Amino acid sequence: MALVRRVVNLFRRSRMDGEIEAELQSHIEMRIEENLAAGMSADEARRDAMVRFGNHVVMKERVTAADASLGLGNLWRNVRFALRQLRRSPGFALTAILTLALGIGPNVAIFSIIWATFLAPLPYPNADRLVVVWTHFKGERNATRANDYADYAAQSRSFERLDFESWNVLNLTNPDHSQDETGGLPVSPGFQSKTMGEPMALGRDTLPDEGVPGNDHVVTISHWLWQARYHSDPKILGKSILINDEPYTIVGVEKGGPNEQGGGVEFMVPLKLWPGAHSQQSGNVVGRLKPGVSIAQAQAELSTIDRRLAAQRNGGKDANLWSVSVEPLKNDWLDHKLERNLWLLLAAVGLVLLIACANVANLLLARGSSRRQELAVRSALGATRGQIFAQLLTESLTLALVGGAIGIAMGWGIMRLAMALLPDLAKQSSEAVVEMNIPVLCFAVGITLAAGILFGCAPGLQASRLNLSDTLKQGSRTAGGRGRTSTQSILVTVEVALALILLSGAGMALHSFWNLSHIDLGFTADHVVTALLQPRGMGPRGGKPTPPPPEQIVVQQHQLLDRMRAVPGVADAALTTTPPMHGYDKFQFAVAGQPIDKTHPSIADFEGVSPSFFSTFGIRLIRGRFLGEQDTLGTPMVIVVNEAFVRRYLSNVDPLTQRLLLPRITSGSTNNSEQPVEYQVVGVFHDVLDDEHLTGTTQPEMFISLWQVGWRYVAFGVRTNVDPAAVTGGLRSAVASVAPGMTINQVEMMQQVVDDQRTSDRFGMTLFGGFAGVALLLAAVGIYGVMSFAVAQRTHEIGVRMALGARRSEVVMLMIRGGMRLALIGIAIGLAGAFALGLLMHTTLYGVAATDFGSLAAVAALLFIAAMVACWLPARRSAAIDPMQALRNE
Amino acid sequence: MARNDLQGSLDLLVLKTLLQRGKLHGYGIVAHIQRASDELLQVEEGSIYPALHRMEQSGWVKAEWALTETGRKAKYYKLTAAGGKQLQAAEEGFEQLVKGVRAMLRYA
Repeated sequence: MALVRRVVNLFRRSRMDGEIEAELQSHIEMRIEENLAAGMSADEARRDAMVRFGNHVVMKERVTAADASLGLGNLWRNVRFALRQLRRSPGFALTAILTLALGIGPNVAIFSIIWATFLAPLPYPNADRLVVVWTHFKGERNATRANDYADYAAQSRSFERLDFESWNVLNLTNPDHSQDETGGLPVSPGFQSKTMGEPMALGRDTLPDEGVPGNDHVVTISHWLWQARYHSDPKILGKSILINDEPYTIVGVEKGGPNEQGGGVEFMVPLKLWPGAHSQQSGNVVGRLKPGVSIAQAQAELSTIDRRLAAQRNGGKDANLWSVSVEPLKNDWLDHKLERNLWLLLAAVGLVLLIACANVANLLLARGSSRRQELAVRSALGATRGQIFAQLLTESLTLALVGGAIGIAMGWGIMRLAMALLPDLAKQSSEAVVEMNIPVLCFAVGITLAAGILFGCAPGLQASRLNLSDTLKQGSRTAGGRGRTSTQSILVTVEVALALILLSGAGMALHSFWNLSHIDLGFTADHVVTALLQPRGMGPRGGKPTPPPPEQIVVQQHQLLDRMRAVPGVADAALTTTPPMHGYDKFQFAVAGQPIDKTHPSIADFEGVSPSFFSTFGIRLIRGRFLGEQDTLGTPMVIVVNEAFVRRYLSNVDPLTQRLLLPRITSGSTNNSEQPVEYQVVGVFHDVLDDEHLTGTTQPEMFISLWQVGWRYVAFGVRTNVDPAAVTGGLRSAVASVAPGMTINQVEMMQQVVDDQRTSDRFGMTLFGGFAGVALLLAAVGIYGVMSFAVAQRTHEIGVRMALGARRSEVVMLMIRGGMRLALIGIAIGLAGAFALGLLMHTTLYGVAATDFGSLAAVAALLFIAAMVACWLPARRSAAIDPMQALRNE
Repeated sequence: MARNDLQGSLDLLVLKTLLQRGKLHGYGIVAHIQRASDELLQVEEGSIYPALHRMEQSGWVKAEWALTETGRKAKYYKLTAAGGKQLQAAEEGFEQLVKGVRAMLRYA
């Protein structure tokens, strides 16, 4: 370890000084002795010795330098030399640095997201002891029932604390007793401060005895809520707020998270559960393990308890289908598709970096040929292979570091862009802070150095292995050498293959997004606002008032629609029990005249709508007619069904002649005891997506007119001819004026609901597409570079060919064939990789097969064209070669 | 023949000396080069030391303090295996250079 020796020498300097002095001194004295022996006088002998020795001080300095700092000095000299070299060929330097930055930037960006999302430790004290307990039914994660939780907590010994987080969402109540959208949860008292270990910003956490009914009207609020709603009021403690229309006293304010933005759990009320307390709630179980207890031990203990409980659950039915798991608390609430997308993207950007490295290695190899003479001279003058290798590697690393620095800046930009594409990521895991932090920077520096070594090694080895005599003898003409050319060819082939894999990923992502964008929803989503109509002051303990008679409801709803249509900007308004894409229910019915199957009753989604529903949502009529204003309380009951309904239940008959039997509905409640009512099918409409998921299937649907039944609490939809967000204020006051007892809740833009479902796909598509674009560019540049080099190198050969009568077009074709052969081999190899990627990827995609021939063919063609252009540009130059000049060029 | 830019040649001479004479101190190396080259190669004597120390750091030579025949303390240098290899490479390179130069001169 020469370098280590030198560094050690740095610290032994004073002793070294003495030794060097002694060595030099002994030399001079030996010379003096010899001079004296040769008969010189003492003075003469000394003077002669000094003259022969040279400048004593300078020599000593040079020896010291050789001992102490040669290695470090060399490193610095190499770096300076490298920078000088780069300055001397700015075109090369710029290309290489940009290529590297393009390779490193995306890696930094994706890694920063992955780090924050999956890898970073949670920002809580002793976060490794925090666990989530999941109940599994048939292997699927399930909410844990409050009663089970109470038994776990009472019987287990593994946990310091085991807390329950109910899924029963509570809402703040506005001063006018309407329900606010801000939600919160009942949680075991002390969850925030004791289990999570988060100190309160203000006041205290809830206390154990506040978890029982009677004492439980206290609440802790989130930092965000405190700031946004109460203007950071320092005297907030002790104030009373309405939750589900009941007064709660604020006792504490939580500490703010790093990127809280509201919309999550904004307050917590205490809920204590104990065995036998019998609660219908279910929710998450989060615990803190006792020190020294492993997750496996806790899991074993809870499993034992759960098996005992399962034997009693439902009389022991399906006991073996239940299980319980204890898992580390981490950000695993992310959409699984998104999670997979992120890892795939990390792999994708890894490929981009490999392509970039291959490109830079090629650039260096090409440049190396022009430096062979220089290196040969250096080695003739005594530079060792190691030294030449070290010098070339230093040059590569210098390039890498400059490229890496720009790459980090670029990565920051890409990261911001990605986060803008994916606002959900920040919302879903408020603990995940996506930023440029130390681990991300370490990763960036790591991959930069790895890249530098990767692309620096090939040319370095090649150059350090160069045969001195051959090089000096041969001059520049055939300096290419077979070895390097084949290395370059292999690198280009690999680049093309990797680029094709990436492009295929992008192609599939694009295909999926295209499919998603072209799903037939059955309704028009843009410029439609939906909202729920709810009674004011619906408390948890408030009993249901007796509904008014149907006539009154229908009259009021007519007024409501009229008032809504009068709001400026509103084109049409409609009522519906459930808006499209907001879920469906399974309602039993029978077709009149058909036998009833008791074990498999006919079921379909059943909704009541106002006749304007069809025009407001742009629903298409297939047969017969829609529900009309003429169908009222007094007229015969009519019903319309969708195509799925006809396919399932009325496939062999004319649907318009059929009647359906349904329970009687009065003022919004069904009455199963009475005789069913007959509904005449009057129309068939095109399927309207009722599933919450864009990719879900549409159920058989049957719609009746609200005007015929009177159904009080419904939703409404409004089509606007202005920005839909602009009319909500008008709609609110319309509702307030017609129905003072009602309020609007869950205002949604239909288009937003649809778009949100494409978020993860849009994210994947945009980033994959972007990175594949970079890969395509880099691969094309790679081919271009190698071809240019080949043309330059074969000038002589081309000159000979042309002198012997080859036509220019033949020469160009010759060059293109050479390049395209590499591209085609690369494409062939890349196709194999693309098949593998397809297998990994297609589960996250919609409507894309594991082998997506269409997009594969498209991207292969794209790559082929890009390669063709990259070959043709330099090949064209070969045609311009003047044979006389090329031959004289010796 | 002792300027820095021709360091390679000086290295060659030193390594060759150590190969021929075994363990030797700096003064002995200088004296040997002068004698063996019939006094044609005159090395500025001090300049051998930076070279020796550099070669020591590169692991081509090993050094230890010992007494001379006259009882003086001196630092003795010895060729290592790596130094032997380096010598071989340097010799080959030099042969080529000489051949090239000679051919060049003959051509003229």
